[in-house]
Amino acid sequence: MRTRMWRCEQFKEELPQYVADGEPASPYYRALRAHLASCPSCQEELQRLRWVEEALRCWPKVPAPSALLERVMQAIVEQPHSVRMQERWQPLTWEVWVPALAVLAGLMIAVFSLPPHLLNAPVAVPGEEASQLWARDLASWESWLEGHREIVGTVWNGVFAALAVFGIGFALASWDALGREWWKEVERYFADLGNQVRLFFRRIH
Amino acid sequence: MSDPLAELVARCQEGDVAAFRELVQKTQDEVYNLAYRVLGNSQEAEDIVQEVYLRVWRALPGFRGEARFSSWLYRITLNACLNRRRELRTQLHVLDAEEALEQLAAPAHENPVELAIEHERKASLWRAVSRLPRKYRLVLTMFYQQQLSYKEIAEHLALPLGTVKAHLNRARRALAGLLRRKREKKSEDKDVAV
Repeated sequence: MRTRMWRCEQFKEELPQYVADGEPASPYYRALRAHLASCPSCQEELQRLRWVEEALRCWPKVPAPSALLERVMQAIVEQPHSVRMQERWQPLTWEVWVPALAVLAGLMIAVFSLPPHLLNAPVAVPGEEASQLWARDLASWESWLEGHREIVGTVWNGVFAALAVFGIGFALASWDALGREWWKEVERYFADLGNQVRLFFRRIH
Repeated sequence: MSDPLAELVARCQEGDVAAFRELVQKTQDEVYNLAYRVLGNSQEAEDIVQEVYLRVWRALPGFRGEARFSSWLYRITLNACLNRRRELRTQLHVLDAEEALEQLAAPAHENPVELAIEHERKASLWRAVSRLPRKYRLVLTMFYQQQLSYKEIAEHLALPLGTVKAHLNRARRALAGLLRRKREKKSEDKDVAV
């Protein structure tokens, strides 16, 4: 008797969804339909749920009061124009200007860490051709680099490391919002799976 | 699926106040109904509607159209209602449910007496919805009045799909239970009268 009542209660839990789905003839509800054929209590519950479903489907909305539109538009018109213009002209998001600043800072560090004489334009010797001037300048760079290999290497490595860190940070920030959405989907999926498994074990017992 | 309000929204984003007025006209009933169902009070619902459209007006330039405008509007409305409800807590009275329902006119029917009785029974069920716990009232409103799918409701409320279905089914059973108790009480009263 207790087992029968328990089974009845289990079937009654499925009834609302069965009615909301339109009482389909699908195999999923086979056990329920078989039980309904022989249980007066569940048949009564089915009738009540049918009536509830019908009443809910014609549940009227409460219309907005007629004066509400004017009230809303009055509030809109009173908004200061500067607020809306400020919002239209949004500055660049931080995901854009932070990496851009980082790149600029890195390049400036690299440039200003070079010795001053290398930043000055070479002075042409009278009679020297342009190609000879550039070759002399290049040789000057090469000899300086040769003598300061470690410093140059450190600075340039530092610049590119900073760029890489900011690039990764930018990518993570962009993916953060997407990642949160993805995680929510995963949570929902496993919650649904849990519900399906519980329902399955209930039905077989 | 394309957004039917996309063109209107684009004009509003250019600062077209007349277009915004049209947008409000097309969507205010849905917004008001949701606010009313969540807060249960017409004055609070009106305040929320005004607040929602002010937020929309300010935020429209940043709306990129990744989601449908109605979904975005719906989310703003829901957040505003839930925040307001938290502020008001138990101060809210469900004063207007019966008032609003009394305004409903019964359509013409061959048997007006039976229809009136049936309508009154349904009206009493609709009143009963306003006495259900908020989480059940909310999903009932979103499913039956806003015509959202289970998936859309789950997304708006950040709930698993199974939980949304469970809330709806428990709400339906609660209403069926109220109906059963009412009928039992009626038959007891008849027995006593006899």
